[in-house]
Amino acid sequence: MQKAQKRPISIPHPQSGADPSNSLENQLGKAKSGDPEAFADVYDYYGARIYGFASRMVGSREDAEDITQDTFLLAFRNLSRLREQDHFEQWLYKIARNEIYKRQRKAKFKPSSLDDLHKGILQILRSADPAGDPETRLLSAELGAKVKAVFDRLPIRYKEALVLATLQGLSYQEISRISGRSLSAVKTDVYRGRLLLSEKMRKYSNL
Amino acid sequence: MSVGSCIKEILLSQYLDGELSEDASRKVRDHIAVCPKCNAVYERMKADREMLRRHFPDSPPPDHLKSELLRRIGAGREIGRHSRIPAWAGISRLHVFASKPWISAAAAAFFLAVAISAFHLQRRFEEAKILEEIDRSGAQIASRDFSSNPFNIYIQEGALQAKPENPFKRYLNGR
Repeated sequence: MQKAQKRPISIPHPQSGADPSNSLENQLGKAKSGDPEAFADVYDYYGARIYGFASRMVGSREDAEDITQDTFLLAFRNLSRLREQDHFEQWLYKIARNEIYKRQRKAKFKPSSLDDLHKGILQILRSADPAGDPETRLLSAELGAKVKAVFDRLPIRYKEALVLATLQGLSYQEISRISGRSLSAVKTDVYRGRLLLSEKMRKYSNL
Repeated sequence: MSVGSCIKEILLSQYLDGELSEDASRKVRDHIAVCPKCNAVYERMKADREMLRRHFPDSPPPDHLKSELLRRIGAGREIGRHSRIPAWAGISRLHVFASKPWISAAAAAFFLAVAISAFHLQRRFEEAKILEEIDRSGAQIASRDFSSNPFNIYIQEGALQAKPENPFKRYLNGR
């Protein structure tokens, strides 16, 4: 399998020459006994991944921040329940996933309108490089807003599968463990997600 | 090399994600090299993946998130920004009851005392209302002239004696 070589899922061992007492494995052990400073190191390593997952899933920066914070807080409080330290990252993803689904259940369905699309274009334009060609910037911003709007409308299980597989770089096996779905279900979800995204993008482009 | 039958799209999707075995990957690679249809599907999937990566780039979490997290870990705060009470209060809504049980006990005692007082007050008020009603009814009965009553004979013959005693009468006699 090519995917298995992509990125180790276990907590990496310290690089040669580094202080072994500061390895993530050690820091996780210390955090288990309630050391917040050690947990801060764990956050430094995994924070960006969980934040990336949350922000891509919910689309809102504020919600992503809340989800990331709640995920790490819950992880810290429940570290003693973690049996396999090697699966810490998957465990974190599971917690984050639960938080995302909890928010999805509470939030009312609000399909993005043309106004939202225009707001998205403006937002992307503001964050784009001002030195570039204005026409290219506008086209790029418009496309970015469209992609985000289409992606936002995908069913959550497809969106989740796509985010984890293509953007977070997890293997199907890891996604299966995180989502609790079978491996074949994950394969189908990723494929259907791709298909749906492609179809919707084509439809959206023809509007 | 013959093109052969086309590969299922779901396998192309797995190939793109590097989820096929070495042997299966080689077969797919060889096939899409000679099959324009499958190659087009694969290239479209690849382009979509690149588009997603371009529009959803990795972005680091804001710096304040870590300090806020450490503050909450240190303070043992309640979870969820919206479930927290304003920062000026400095305490969580429910945490105060868990940390200081005497507050819970005092609150329970206070509510119990209020409930008992309210119950007694209501009873006394109702009693007063009943007594007032009895007074009014008794006064009406006492002032009534039975001489003009068409049933006077019936009353005089003592038939009333056989009837159950009027509660108002007993009340009036007692006064």
